Amino acid sequence: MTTANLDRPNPRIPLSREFQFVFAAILVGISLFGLLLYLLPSETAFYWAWVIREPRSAILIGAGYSGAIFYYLIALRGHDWLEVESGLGGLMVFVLTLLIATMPDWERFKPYHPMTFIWLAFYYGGPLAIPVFYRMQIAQFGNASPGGAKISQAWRTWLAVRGLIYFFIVLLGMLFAPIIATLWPWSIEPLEVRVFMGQIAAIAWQGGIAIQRDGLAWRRHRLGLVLSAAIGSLQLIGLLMLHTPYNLYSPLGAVLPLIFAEWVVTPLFMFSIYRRQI
Amino acid sequence: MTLDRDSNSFVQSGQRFVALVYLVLGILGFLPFDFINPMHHSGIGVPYLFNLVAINALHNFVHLSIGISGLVATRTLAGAQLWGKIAGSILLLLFILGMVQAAIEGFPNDQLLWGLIPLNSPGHMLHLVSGGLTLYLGLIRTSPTATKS
Repeated sequence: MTTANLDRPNPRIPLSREFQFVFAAILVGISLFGLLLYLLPSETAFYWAWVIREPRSAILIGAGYSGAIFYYLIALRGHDWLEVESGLGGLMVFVLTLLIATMPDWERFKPYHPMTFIWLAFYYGGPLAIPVFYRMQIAQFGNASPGGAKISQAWRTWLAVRGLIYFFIVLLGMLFAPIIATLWPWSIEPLEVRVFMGQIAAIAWQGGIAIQRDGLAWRRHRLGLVLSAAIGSLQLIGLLMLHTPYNLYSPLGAVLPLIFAEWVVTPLFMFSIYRRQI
Repeated sequence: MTLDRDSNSFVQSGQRFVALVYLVLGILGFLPFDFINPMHHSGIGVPYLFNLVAINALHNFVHLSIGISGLVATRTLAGAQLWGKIAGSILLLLFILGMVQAAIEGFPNDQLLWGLIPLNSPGHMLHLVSGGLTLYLGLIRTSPTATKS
């Protein structure tokens, strides 16, 4: 599946001060969201923006934020625009999905809870600030193809296909959340289903990267695959960690673990092939 | 930070983007469709734009005014920066006033600022985030050669 390394990798392009701020703010926010939801899933009535009745749902949402901690730690440490640029589309897709998810169920939110304020700041701020800061980054530092190692055409096709499948799932999940909630392996509310769709949308974006002009560049995919593996692992651990009811025979009972396993397996294969290549 | 001549266009396009968002919100607020602006009968009884932001006709006019003035002002860099300072300050002031009133009234689901403009927490946060971004773009130092562009 490997291909020859034909291009020289382009040198690192630093992150603008604005993106450093945005990533640092995201890191603080998702650490707070992720660790609370993942580690204290039964206490959401106290600390969360709305009451999540079923701890499994809190872990489902918390795993997404917790997994993204790795992404933003690496992004801030690496300080390399060419690695994070392609992921910004995923971030936009994620924040827009969650902003839309908030709309039909606003009544469930505690309007003046601090977490609600952070939530709204993230999901308003993302769509407003990211396009503006993107232009600023390019204006200051320019842009370039990442160059370097390339993934094979087969991997590119797989990433595009899985992205398309996940995009379709997100579409269904957002439109038919109340119906999908009845097929879920535990008791879940439509709001939590829609919020979870944000994670799938972010993973689906990897397919969007694959079909872009630089879609074969390994550097474009590396961080997104870390995100996918981290979320998938935490979701699988979360499923095993809790002892509350999980109906494996419900229509989606087997589907969720399969999806999470795929989020781990694809990155593992790709890293085993390309990790030593730049 | 000082931006070079090419970078200055980003200030204008950024402000134009925020202005465009406000213009669209202002227009959508007037649409009489329940799926866009469902009525919330509890509290002060007003429609919520996208089921989030409490609005009425006056609030929509304010959004429209911000949008139109921004689109006009951003034709020049100097105008874009001045607009950023004024609109950003007004939006941040609205956030502060709205929060103070909400605190006085015991943080209700929605409120009427000066008895005229409905506000709620999604509205407060929209003011804070867009005001902060607009003011930031207004305050960025630009290169002197480009201020007339």
